[in-house]
Amino acid sequence: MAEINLKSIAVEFPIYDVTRQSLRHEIIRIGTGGVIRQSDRDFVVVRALEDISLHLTDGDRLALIGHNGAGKTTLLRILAGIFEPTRGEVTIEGRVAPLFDITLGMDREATGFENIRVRGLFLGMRPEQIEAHTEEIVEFSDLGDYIHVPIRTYSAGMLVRLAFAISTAMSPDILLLDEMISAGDANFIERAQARLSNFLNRTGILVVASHAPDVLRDLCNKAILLEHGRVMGTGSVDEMWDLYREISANSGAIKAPTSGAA
Amino acid sequence: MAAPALVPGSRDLARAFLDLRNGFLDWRLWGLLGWLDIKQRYRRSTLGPLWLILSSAIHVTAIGVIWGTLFNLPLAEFMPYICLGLLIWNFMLGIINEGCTAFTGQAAGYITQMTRPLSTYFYWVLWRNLIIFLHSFAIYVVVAIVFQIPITRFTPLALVGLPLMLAFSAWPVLLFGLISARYRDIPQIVGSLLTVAFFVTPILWKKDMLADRAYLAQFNPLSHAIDVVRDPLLGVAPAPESWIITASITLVGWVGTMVLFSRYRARIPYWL
Repeated sequence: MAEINLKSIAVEFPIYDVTRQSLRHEIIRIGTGGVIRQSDRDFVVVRALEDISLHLTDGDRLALIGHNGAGKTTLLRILAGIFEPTRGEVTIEGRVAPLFDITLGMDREATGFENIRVRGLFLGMRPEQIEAHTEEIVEFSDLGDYIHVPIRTYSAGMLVRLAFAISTAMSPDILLLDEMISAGDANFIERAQARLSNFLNRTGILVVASHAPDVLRDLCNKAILLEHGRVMGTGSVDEMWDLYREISANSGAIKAPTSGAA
Repeated sequence: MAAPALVPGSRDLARAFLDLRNGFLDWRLWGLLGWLDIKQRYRRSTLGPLWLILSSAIHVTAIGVIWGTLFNLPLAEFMPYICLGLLIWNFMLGIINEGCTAFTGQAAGYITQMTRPLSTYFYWVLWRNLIIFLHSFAIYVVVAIVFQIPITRFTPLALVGLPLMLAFSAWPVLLFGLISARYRDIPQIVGSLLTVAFFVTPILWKKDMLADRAYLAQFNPLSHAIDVVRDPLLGVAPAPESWIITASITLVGWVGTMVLFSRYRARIPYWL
């Protein structure tokens, strides 16, 4: 049973530049009693999300639509539990798996075998689950004896196949994707597609941020449109995509959002 | 964030302790990451992790002989002393220095993309350095045998002293890791202070060499934390004040660290 409940959450981001993220400024501030500085905040605060409420249960496939910087990634990180919101309530039930970078945590100097274990543990898989899936992962990624060799010797294709196979071996309750995960080289895509749809079907809740309407239409049964960290609308993927196009057309590229994290 | 209250709410405290607990339960991950670090360091070298022991052995022998000669002390007395001092010091130095980058180093990428507890990366630093320390400890076993260090009734006290020294060295890892995530000068400050600390702490010299200025070592908490491990292993009893001071600083340090960790834990991902 998976459930996500966000109650009017807000996220404010302090952005420290290189010089500001240093003690010198604090010391100067203490020394000068804050007189010299003009603002009383020594960093820029970006409101990345504002008043977001969201309720998702099993079977929900949510598309996040919006410009770069609209707050999609920040929202995904809230759902992943990486960021705790500055205001509001987050309740998440079920095991969450963020799949933002499928090779993250893999160690170039370690063997394919070792990396299955590292990556599996990072994803929160139980050791016995990793054990149970190892053979199947090796087989699917088609690495043969290369599995016993450090992955720095792998070709890009081999690496992606392995990373893809490991990540799609788990069965999370809630899956978060920032752009669709890629399956790798061409002759692999067909097998990968089957594995991917099986993987996606296993998860209770899916949240995908993407700029590809076809992908979103394929995967999702509802959508929200984010703009400047606010929810501009909720509805079907088609409705929200049209609204997104409309807003983009009206504001043009000139008023592209300037705040928030990409 | 302009001037937030330093006192954490009870919910923050609960979450901080939960983080420490869940991070500990993540031992399979940090355990593996720690081992891979060690393996990686010596991958493709013929001796492999044996270098952990060998490089420390060279270090200890060279310094032991030179300093023993400089101070005109019998090697049998000075060598075991200097060996233990250096091994413990190297552990403290490594753990505290690496603690400063516990969240900002390699872990930063993991923290912003994965859902492991933050303390997982704290335990990772601890574990990696503990592996190195325990390996290099083999040298002392050899030294103790060669110089016939007696096993006395005080020797078992090391079993209390060692965990105490670990707890004493662990809170700065979490504290400096946290502060360094926000203020990136901290690793440099800590690094320079530790370099100085090495010379003002009785490692290469003995307290009684200070003669009537022995209080200089007495005021040094690092000196006491080293003593609660070194003295029992040399077969003597640590001074009572060494236990009291080490334990008190451990306690106060952890309380302070937990207050700050509770208050700012959730901000760490934002700072990275």
